[in-house]
Amino acid sequence: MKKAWWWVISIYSVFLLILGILIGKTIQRWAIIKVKTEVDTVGAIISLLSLAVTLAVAYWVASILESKKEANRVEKDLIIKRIDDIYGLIEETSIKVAVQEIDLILAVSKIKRISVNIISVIETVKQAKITIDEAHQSKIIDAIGDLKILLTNTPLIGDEHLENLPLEIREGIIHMSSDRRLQIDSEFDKIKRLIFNLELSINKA
Amino acid sequence: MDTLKVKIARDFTPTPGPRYIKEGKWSGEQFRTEKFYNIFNDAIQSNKNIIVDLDGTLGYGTSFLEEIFGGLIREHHLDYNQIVNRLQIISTEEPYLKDDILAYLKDAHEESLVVGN
Repeated sequence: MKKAWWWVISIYSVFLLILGILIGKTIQRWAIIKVKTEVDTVGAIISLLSLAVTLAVAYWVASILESKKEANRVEKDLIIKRIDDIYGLIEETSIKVAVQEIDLILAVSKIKRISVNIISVIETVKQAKITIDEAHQSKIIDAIGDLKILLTNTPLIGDEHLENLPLEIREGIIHMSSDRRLQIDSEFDKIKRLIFNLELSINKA
Repeated sequence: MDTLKVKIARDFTPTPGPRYIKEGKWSGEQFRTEKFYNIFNDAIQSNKNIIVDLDGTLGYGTSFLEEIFGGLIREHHLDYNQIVNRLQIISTEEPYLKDDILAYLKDAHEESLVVGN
């Protein structure tokens, strides 16, 4: 039994040997599969140096990008902080206007502060090369202009006999109808919404 | 061409008020009748340009600006083209006021044409 087993293993080994030689011969004929048996020391050193330089450049580029990203984030935070201040100014002005009587000079000065600050923020955003929609900027400026018209545009003398004027100025104080006050409130809300969207755009950019 | 310059904050008030004198202090009507019309009229008569500097005030109500510019055509019957061709506006703080003023002048001009017909 043991002898028979030995024969099987021997025949099987010879078969594997012949198969291996045949496969080896076949592979040798294929030009693309050539195994280089010598060690190229100079080439290996150059490869190592090349790898080291690649890693160094990758690290340098990554650190520059990271610091740029960090600077950009700080700029954005500063701009958003300024927009928050403007938001506060709008809130304060809308509360003053809500009483239906407001000093004209106070009203125009508040609106001027709001628009000057918004223009300044838009300029800063441009200088910081943060891309935001031009149309959105125009919408904010237009909305502030509309608010100013609602709050400070009194009718010409020919219209003074009209009853229930929406807006009158007596001794420098603006008196407005309930409807006009609602229109003004709505315009304030629109400006706040546009400014909030501006904040979001800057944050996303 | 020579140029006349008017700066509202310096030559009138840093706190411009309402449209009409009866509405309160430092009105557009007051400025137009006391100073602005004379300046424009002189400039047109003597063929000079006019620079109007809007910066330095606390802000302008819509009616104040409409009254001082539109009123030149509506009340003093100055020629629209004579005004527009000579006028240069400085408004670095609120740049959009330039467009607003040109619109007030145009509206007053178109209104005057309708009234004239």
